[in-house]
Amino acid sequence: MKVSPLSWAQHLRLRENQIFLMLVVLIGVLSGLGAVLFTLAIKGTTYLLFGISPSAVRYIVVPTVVSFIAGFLLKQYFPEARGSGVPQVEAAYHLQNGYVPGRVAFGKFITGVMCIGSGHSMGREGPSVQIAAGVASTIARWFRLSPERARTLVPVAAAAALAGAFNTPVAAVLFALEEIIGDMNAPLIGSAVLASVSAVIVERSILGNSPIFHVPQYKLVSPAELLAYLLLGTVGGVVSVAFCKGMLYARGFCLRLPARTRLLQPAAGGLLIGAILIFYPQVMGVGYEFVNQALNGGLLLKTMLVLCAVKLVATIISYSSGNAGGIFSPSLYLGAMAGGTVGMLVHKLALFPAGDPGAYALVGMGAVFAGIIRAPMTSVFMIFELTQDYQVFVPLMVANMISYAISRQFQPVPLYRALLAQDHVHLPSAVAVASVHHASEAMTSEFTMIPPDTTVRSAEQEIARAPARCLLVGNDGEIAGLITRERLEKELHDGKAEALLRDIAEAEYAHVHPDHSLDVVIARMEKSPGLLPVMSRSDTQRVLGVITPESLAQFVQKIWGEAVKEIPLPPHR
Amino acid sequence: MERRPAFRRFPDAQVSEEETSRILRRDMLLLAVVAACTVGLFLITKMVAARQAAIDSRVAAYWYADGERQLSAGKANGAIDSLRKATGIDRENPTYMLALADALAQGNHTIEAQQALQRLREMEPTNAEVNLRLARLAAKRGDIADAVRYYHGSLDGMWSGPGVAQRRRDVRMELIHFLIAQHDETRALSELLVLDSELPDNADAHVQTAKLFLEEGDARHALDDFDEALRLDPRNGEARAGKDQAEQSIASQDGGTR
Repeated sequence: MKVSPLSWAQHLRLRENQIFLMLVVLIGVLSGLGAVLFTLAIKGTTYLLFGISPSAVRYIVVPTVVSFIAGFLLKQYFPEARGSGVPQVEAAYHLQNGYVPGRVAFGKFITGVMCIGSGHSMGREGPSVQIAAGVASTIARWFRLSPERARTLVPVAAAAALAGAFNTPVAAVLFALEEIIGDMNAPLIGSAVLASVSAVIVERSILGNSPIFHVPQYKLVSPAELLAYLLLGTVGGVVSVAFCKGMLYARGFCLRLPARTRLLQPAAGGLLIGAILIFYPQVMGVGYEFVNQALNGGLLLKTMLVLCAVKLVATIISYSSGNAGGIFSPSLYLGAMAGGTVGMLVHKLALFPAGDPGAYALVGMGAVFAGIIRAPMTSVFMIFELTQDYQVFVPLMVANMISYAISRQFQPVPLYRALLAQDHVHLPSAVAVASVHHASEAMTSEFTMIPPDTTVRSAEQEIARAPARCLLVGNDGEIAGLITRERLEKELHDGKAEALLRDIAEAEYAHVHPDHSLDVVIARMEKSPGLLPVMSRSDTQRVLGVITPESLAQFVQKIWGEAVKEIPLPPHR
Repeated sequence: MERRPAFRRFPDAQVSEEETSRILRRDMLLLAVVAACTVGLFLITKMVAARQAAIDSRVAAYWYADGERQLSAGKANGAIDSLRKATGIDRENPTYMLALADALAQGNHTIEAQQALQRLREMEPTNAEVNLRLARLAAKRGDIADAVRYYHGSLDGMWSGPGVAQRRRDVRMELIHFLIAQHDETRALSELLVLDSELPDNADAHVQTAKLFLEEGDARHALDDFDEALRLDPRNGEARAGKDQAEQSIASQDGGTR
C-alpha cells in the first residue's frame, strides 16, 4: 500500500495521542508512588535521626548537621530544589514549556527527605509536586512529545502527586487548575482527573484506606454560629497575612545576605529549629499528628495558641533559610491551631450554643490555606473531601471568603508568586488578565480596509506600504474577507495581477467580538494570519477594530507594568 | 531562569515510512521500559511501606507500654502524652485507643475520652469494652438514658478473652447498682431477674443477687436465691442469715397485707 508522507505524519500524531493517554496513567501512578515513597522516606529518616525519645543535644545537632549537608547539595548541585517546589513548577509550566530537569526531581527527593526528616517545619506536598513534575517532564522528553503535550503533563503530574500525598483527588485536580495553571477552565481537566485517580489508587493500595486525619463529625449547632465563623475567617486572614509578610521579609533578608553565606544559611536555620524543638517538639516536620489532636479536641487552648505562633516562626525560619520543603502542610497546621483556639474561645464565651472546637479547627485549616495559598476552591473541596459532609460547606465558604479577602487586601501578590518574584521570576499570569480584560481593550480602531474591487497588483502595492502581513477587504467598515501578503505574492507569481480581491479574499477567517476575554483573543490570534478583526455582535459584517500581535503585546505590557509591587526583593543577581 | 529547547516537534510532513516505524518501535519499547520501572517502583514502595509499618508498630508499642506503666503509677498526664504518641503512630489500633480513653478518663479529660471512645465505637459498634467505658462515662455525668443504652450495648456486645459470662454478669451487676443509685427500682428489678436467670451454680453469686433482691424489696426472689445458695453450700453463713432476713421480710409483708 502506498501511503503519502503526510499521512505518516498524521499517523504519528494519532500515535502521540494514544501514547499521551497511556503516559497520563503511568505518570499518575509514578507520581503517586513518588509521593508515597517521599512520605515514607521522611518518616524513616526522622526515626533514624531522632530515635524514639531524643535528647536536647540531639534536637540541636541533627537539624544543624543535616541542614549543612543539605545546604551544600542545594548550593552545589540542586539550586532549583530549594523551598516548596510549587512556584518552580508554576514557572516551568508558564515560562519553560514545562521543562523540569530530571536532576531537580532527584535532588528534591534527597534534600527534601533530609530537611523535613531532620525536623524542619516544612511540608511534603510541594516537594512531591516538584518531584512528580520532574519525572513527567523527563518522560515527556524521552518520548519526544510535542512541547504542548510535554507542558500539559506537568500540571497533570502535580495533581497526581498531591492526590498521592494528601489523599484528596478532587482537591488535587483543582489545585493543579487553580494554582499551577491559574485557569479553572483549562482543557486538561480530564487528564488531571485520570492521573489523580491513578495516584490515589496506588496510594491506597500501599498505605491503606485510612484518611490522613480523623475528622470529627461536623455540625453547625446554631445559625448564630456563622458569626463565629466570620471571626474565624478574620483570624485566619490575619494569620495568613502574618505568615506571608513574615516569610517574604525573612526570605528577602536572607537573600540580601552576602552570597558566601548561602552555604551556611540552611545550617543556621537548622540550629534555630533545633533550639525551638527542644521546647516545642510538636512543630517538628509535617506535624499532622498534632493537627489530628487539634481536630479531636486533644489540645488545650493555651497549647494551640502557642503552637500556632511557634509553628509560624519555625516555618518561616526553615523556609527562608533555604531548606527544601513546602508550606502546604504548615498552612494546614496553622489553620488547625488558630481554628481550634477560636473554637475553644467561642465554646467558652459565646452566648449561643456552639459546636466542638474540633469543627473550628477543621474550618480554620481551610481558611488559613485559602489565605496563604490563595486557592479558595481547592481549600473548600479539600476540607469537604476530608469530612465528606455537606454541612461544612457554608461555614467553610464564609471563613474562606473572609480570610481570602483579608489576605488579598494586605498581601496583593500571592505568596508563591511573590517568592518567585524574589528570585527575579515574574510569571505571566495571562489567564488572570484574560479573565478580567476584553478584546475591546486590546483592539485598535485604526485599520486599513481595501475595497473588494481592488486588483491584486494594487493591493500588493498597498500592503507593501503597510507593515501588516494581512489586510481587511471590504467597504465602509463592512468586511468581505481577509487577504494575506503571501496570497497576494502567490497570485502575482501565478500571473494573476489583474484578479480582483473579492474573488480571492479569504471569506472564512478567525475573528472575535468586543466582549470576548483575552484568552479567547489569544487562542484565535494563533489561528489568524496576524490580524484579528473585532466584529460587532449586532452586525457581524461590521468591523469595530483589529487586534494585531503588536497591539496585544502593548496592552499586556501596560497591565503587567503594575503587576509586582511591594515585594521585598533582594539585589538583582 | 533560562529557557531551554528540549523537545522535538513531529514534523507536519516529510516523514518517511521507515522513520515512522522507527519512532513507533522506539515509543513502544520506551513505554514497556517505563511500565516495567513503574511496576518495580511499586514493589519497592510496597516493601518500604511494610518495613515502615513494622517500625511504626514497634514505636507505638513502646509508647503504649510506657503509657500503661505511667497509668498504673497514677501519672495520668504522662500516660496521656505517651498514649497519644502511640495512637498518633498506630491510629487504627483499638487497644491503644482504649488505653488512651482510660487515661483521659482518669485524668478528668471526660469530653476527649468520650470522643475517643465514640470513635472506637464507630469502628466497632459491638465492642463490649468500649460500650462499657462509654456507659461509665455517661453514668459519671448522670445521663441515665445513655448509660443504660451503653450498658446494654456492652452486655449484648462482643467480649474477648476468657470468663466472658462472668464479665457479663459483673456488667449487669454494675448496671443494677447504677439503677438503684438512680432510684429506678423497676428497671433495676427487671435487670435483677435477668441476672438471676443467668447465675451459675455458685453460692456467692446467688447470695449477692439475693441481697440485691432484698434491697429492692423483692423478698420472695431473695429467699429463692438464698435457698439455692444453701443448697450449693449448706454451711454458707451469709446465705443462712440472709434467708432468715428474707423470711422475716415475707412474714411482715404477709402480716401487713392481712
